[in-house]
Amino acid sequence: MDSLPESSTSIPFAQGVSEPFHFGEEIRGFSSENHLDSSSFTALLGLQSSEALVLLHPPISGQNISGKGNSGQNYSTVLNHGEVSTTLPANASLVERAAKYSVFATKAESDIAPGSFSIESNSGDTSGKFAGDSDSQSKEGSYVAVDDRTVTICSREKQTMKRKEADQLKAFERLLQVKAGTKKSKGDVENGRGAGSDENVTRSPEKPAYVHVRARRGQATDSHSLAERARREKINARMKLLQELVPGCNKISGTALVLDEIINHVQYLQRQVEFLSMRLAAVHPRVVDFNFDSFLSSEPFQPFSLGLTASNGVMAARAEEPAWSPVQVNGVQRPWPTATCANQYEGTHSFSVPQNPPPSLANSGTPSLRPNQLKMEL
Amino acid sequence: MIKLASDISLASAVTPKKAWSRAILERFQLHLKHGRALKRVTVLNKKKKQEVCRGVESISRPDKLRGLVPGGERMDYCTLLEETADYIKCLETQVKAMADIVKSLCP
Repeated sequence: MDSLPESSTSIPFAQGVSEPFHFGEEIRGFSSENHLDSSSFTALLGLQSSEALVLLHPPISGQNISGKGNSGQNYSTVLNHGEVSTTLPANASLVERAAKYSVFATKAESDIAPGSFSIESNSGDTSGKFAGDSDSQSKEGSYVAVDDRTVTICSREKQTMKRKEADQLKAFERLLQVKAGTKKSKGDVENGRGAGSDENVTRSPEKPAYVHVRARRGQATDSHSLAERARREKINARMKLLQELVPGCNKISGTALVLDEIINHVQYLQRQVEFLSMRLAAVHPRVVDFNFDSFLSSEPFQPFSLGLTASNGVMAARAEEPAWSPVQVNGVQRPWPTATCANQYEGTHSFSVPQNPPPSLANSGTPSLRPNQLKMEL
Repeated sequence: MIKLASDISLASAVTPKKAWSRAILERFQLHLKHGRALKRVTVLNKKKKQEVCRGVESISRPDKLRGLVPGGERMDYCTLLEETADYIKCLETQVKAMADIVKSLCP
């Protein structure tokens, strides 16, 4: 496709890509600061409140809120954009870039996961709330994997909290005892629960190596269980992502069956790839030798690197088709050079050009085709 | 052969931050340097041994998943789930793209 849709898709993505990065950093900084519902916390902690608040740096939370607001909007921009162009280009270009970002990973594949979850950011903030389509799964709260390491766990925990309200004071006492002990930093950003169920493990000033940790009401607060809990939450978040990715997993309850389903799906996809590749091999007599050395050794994502010494000088129209794989030297997504070759293959062939517009990454063309020409064709 | 090429191209297309793409690339590099299918055979043998010893049904689910996802042998569970999500996404893209190719070339 011509450069216009490509740039239009790439720019919001680029913005969106940079934004979640900052977003993630903010979240991390935010979590380490442990934004609190200070009033309720005060009520509960009593004497320790002032100390706690001092350590909590509320001004930073204010910054984070605004930052998140911005990034939330950017998210919605990107997401809307991603949803508008629901065809393969959006997916594939996002596949490249958003592989790092699990949010995009699931959100962008709009045709894969149309029932995308509603992303709800931290409590008390109005910022990051945007619903794609509100997931059937999303009860009052939904999981968010904003970053690789941050998870917001919403009101499901709230309910747990309410049940254990009686233990609140006990837990507090325990916490205060733990205060001087070891704490670990977690990547979790937990909702400030309205009823003051937050407990904050305050940092003792003489041990700057320790970082805030938030323990939940009525739960064990020693370091081991905290770490385990963090790990469990991470795993649950990712399982949830996977569930949304794999069709038909939403209805299954229970981790084991979901895992089975996931495994089946992966096997199915791999079998499909094999089958399709065999089909392709049958269609094309493969004459081309692939020189993978240049292909593998060079840096990824170098556009237009024509470091091919392969004998893809077999420029017969059909043989060009198999040449797409060495052609796509560095990190260019496979469909793009495919479309390229298809264009060479037939002059005005309308093959999947709308479907596979290249991302901002350029296509590496076969030696016979000039890069400009390539770009124009696509 | 095509499968190999497509896998590698896919792996290199994806940002190599993901472990599975690196695993695929490494696998192929070993192919080149040390002769055919050395590494792959090693991995496969390991898995087959597991199967033989334990019986196919009794392989635990995470292990199955590890066997499926390239490079999954060395990951902890948490990372494995993440990589699986990414891998699934990319496999789907791959399948779509290849289906398009086939559709266009064999009317």
